[in-house]
Amino acid sequence: MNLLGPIAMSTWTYAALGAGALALLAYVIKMRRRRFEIPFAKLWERVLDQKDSNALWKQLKRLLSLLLMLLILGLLLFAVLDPTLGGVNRNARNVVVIIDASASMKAIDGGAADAKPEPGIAGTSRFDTAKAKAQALVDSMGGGDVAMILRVDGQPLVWVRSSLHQSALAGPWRALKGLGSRPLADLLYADPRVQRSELAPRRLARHGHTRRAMRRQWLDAVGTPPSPQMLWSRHSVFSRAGAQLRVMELFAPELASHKPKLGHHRHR
Amino acid sequence: MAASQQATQANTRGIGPTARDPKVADRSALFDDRFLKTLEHLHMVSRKVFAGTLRAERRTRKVGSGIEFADHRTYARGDDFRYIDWNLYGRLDKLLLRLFEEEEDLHIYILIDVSDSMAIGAPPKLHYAMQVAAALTYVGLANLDRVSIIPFGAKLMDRLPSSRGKNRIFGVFDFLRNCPIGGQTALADCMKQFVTQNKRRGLAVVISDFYDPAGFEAGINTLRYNKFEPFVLQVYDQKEAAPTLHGDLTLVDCETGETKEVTISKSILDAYMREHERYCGELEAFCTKRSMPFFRTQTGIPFDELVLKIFRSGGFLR
Repeated sequence: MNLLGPIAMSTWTYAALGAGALALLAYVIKMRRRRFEIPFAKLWERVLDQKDSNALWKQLKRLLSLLLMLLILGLLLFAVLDPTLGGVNRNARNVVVIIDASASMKAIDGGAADAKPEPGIAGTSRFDTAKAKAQALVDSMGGGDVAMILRVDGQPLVWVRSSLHQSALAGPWRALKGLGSRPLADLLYADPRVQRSELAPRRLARHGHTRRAMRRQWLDAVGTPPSPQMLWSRHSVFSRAGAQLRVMELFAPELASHKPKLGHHRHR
Repeated sequence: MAASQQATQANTRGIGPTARDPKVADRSALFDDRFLKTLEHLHMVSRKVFAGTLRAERRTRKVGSGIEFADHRTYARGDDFRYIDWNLYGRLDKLLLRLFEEEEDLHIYILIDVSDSMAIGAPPKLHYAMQVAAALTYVGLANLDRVSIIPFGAKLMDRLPSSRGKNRIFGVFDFLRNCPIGGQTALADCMKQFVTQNKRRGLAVVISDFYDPAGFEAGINTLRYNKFEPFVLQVYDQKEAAPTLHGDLTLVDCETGETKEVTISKSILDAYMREHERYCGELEAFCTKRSMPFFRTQTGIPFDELVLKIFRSGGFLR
């Protein structure tokens, strides 16, 4: 069994201890009996004398309630750790799913030729099926896996231009100078000394330094101001010999309209 | 000792009403105009109920100086000549004395329990008991009986001396409003004290919840053995008979301060209800076996309804 939860074990231990202490405290508070005034204790005495045989069971029941409370708490905390049965390859996989978005994918499958599709109710297009399959694939991925979904059709969506800060051109990242027209990826992925951090999606602030820099560079490259929909970016930090390089990838407008759904991507 | 008792009182305050509770102690609104109207109504009804049988005077078994003939007895030396039946002497040649029934006022003693346990309930049982006591007193006073009210708790408290006549009712109200309340219930001791203080026999109406740890039998028997006519009126609150408790509780006896730890369950509540019913049943059986009038009432029933029931049963005044 593996624990895939995103919480560090030490944090979890502290949380468990804290929650346990709270549960005990609640139990002790509950143990304090309310006082209630009665007119005639003798009647109660008679009743309790009859019921005394149950006293042990009553005590046990009180203890049982505590144990049950702790058990439920324990199970809750355990669930947070996201336990998985069976061996899971902890080596994270990088999966790229390429979905064909060309015109042929708009065809509707499944319905027999003689069955006329009712107007207004569209059948499932191949593209929808492909999307659903990709979705299922992403859902089935483990905690350490990273998926990238590419939509491929006639229109280019990924356009890469590397813009570097002056200070990045010294030190361990000098090699960037000689990059020329090659993509940045050549350098980053070919070099075994480069380590990559987790990917972090980030929403760009509408007004801010990064936004202004992005706007300027987009204008330089494309000639038109960037679409206001360009809000989503993903960040990763590459380190080489201790020096860090932050790479920000901005989703182009066509992609920006397909906001990455956070819930479906697990980033380790 | 006193300090510890005070501490217990402070601890339990605010949980249930006690005699220290100002709401219970405030009895100013107890006898308002509506109450007076109800009393007058009760009086009228009582006249109807007792019509023909009721007199201001009451015959006793004593023979003495009344006007109604009772019996003859042989003359003994020293008897008053005036009572010799001369006609009989002429016929039988024997000196016989005419005896008459002595007539005297009926003495009604209303013994009202003002212990701490009576302060419990909504409205407090004490208020209810006082209203019933005032109503019975009024009818008694209006019938020219001598009525005396004696509150008791751990011991007899200051009494309202015997009075007679309807117009005394306001004195009764004042007395009930201002009499001290609180303390434990010690029925047996109080009754003993009562019979030694009151030599004139009469009707002894005991209004209480009869929650006495020492039992109610001794107290009531004391009255019987001393030739009083006990009239037992038990007052209880519906919440006492069928409490709506839940959870883990420390039950505190409002009089003794005795505590009981209990985890309330349905079976315990049921057992308690049965026990309460049994206790009340014991009291009733005790009274009916000894042919004493017994009435049990919960505070939810209007007091005038109870008083009418008492009249109709013929237990209060004969």
